Amino acid sequence: MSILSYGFMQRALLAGILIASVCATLGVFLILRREAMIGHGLAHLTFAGVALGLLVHLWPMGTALLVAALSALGIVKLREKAGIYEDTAIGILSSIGMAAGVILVSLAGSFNVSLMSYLFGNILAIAPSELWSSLALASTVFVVIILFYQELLFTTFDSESAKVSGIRVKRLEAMLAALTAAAVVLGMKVVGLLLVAALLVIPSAAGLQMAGNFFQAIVLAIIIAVVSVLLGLFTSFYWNLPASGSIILFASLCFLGSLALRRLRAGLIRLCSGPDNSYKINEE
Amino acid sequence: MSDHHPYPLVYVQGVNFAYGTTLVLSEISLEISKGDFLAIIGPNGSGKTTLIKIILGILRPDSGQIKLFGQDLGSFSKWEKLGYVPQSASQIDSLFPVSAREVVAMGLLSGKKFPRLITRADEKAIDEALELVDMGKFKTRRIGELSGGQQQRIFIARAIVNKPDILFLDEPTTGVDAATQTRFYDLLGSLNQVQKITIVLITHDIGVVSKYVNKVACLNQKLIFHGNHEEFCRSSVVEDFLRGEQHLLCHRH
Ligand SMILES: Nc1ncnc2c1ncn2[C@@H]1O[C@H](COP(=O)(O)OP(=O)(O)OP(=O)(O)O)[C@@H](O)[C@H]1O
Ligand SMILES: [Mg+2]
Repeated sequence: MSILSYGFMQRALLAGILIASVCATLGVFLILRREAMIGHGLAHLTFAGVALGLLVHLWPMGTALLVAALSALGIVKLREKAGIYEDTAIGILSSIGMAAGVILVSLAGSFNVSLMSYLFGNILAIAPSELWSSLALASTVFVVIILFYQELLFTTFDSESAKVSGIRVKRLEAMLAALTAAAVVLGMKVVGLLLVAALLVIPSAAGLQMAGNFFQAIVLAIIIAVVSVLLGLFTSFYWNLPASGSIILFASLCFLGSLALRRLRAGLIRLCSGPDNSYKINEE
Repeated sequence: MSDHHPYPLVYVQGVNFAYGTTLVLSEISLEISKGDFLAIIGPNGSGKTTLIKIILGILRPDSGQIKLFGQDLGSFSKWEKLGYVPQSASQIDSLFPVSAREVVAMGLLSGKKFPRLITRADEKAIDEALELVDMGKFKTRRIGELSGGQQQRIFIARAIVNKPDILFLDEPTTGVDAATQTRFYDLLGSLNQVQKITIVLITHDIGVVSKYVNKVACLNQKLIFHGNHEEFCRSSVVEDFLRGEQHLLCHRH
């Protein structure tokens, strides 16, 4: 019997592929904006959001989303208004998030299985009801990125010139932060809060290694994310290993592969065209 | 015709600006009319870049008023009329995976409404802009794999792809070889003369640009001189300031 005939596997694949693609796409923008660590920071803050949900018996994904979005905007504002480096802002806020989370979890008396699934992910156990809300949110994030693709690219590349083109740079940055918050909460479903940052960084970093233009970088990042999810889930199924760890390890292998490929290609170009022609300065 | 335009394209009145407590611009007032080719000169740190950024709304002045095309900067919305080549264009992240074509396409966004998508017709405009700066062959090349001067030309293509009415260039020929520089200034000259694009050029090559410019602004925190080229050559205020370099700017080749 094919593993695809299991309902839980179908759901895991569907959610995993879509969510990982969203994270990979966002990750390309974040890395180039030198904001690669924002996923890491938001994950810690989202932990407080989950703990809050568990304490007050609300849907933890909902409270997580709320806390993540507010934190993301907080990081943007802190950098902007207080003139603090982004990584410092992330360092401070994520510590607050973790501290608050630990206290909330202890108050809720819920150091238990459900908390573990938020920390380590449990994509193979995703319920049909959760699947639809996750797919809806992930699709929304994806559509928004597509609609603002050119503006996001321009702002990421050269924000001052983007502003002179009438692009609302600050609004766009706040939007990107909110999208990232949504991606962290979604990624939490797939690989858990402890590994969600990897989903935002590794496939994108691999795509960036090999790309000759920006669109290629996005496409490659998505391909690598999808391949990692497929391999990770199959490994998890056949060898009974955690899906989260498998997905991220496969993504890391892809990253190493991309490094090697880049070296190889550079070497080949040098070999084929001779040392002088590969980087022609003057076309006259 | 163009000389009798009802308002100056750029109107700056009593602008003051400080970074923190360091005063950088003091009481700057100037107007730029349609068809002008204005050179802004001044030593390093004299506030040239800051002034342009204030005019373009990137920085907010501490006091004073800016109008673009007769409209207050706060409510200005015709961004497609502006082209901008920033000074930092020469300091881009060489690892950023963006092709020449993608950079030039950015210049088209100001003329578009949401969702700002690049269409088939835009591709033609991109090709034309790249041809104009002699970079057609490098369309798909990653920007980081171009030389400094070639990158600079891509940024110029980005600034003119939308056929702006006024072009702001902040030291666009830094790192560009002499022959290319001459061709580049010829290009600016013809954009100004033939296409009637108003040009504002920050430069240190005061000798080279003199045959194209009709207005000069001399900046050093204050506006030391602002007027047409002929007056500039006769001005004694400028003489001290330039310490003998004035003849370079006044000697028409
Ligand atoms: N971000 C900043 N923060 C603080 N001070 C700044 C900043 N940018 C510029 N300055 C200061 O403002 C002054 C004017 O800088 P500006 O860049 O406008 O000079 P410039 O005339 O363009 O110089 P250059 O010829 O070197 O490009 C300088 O003294 C500089 O030290
Ligand atoms: Mg400058």
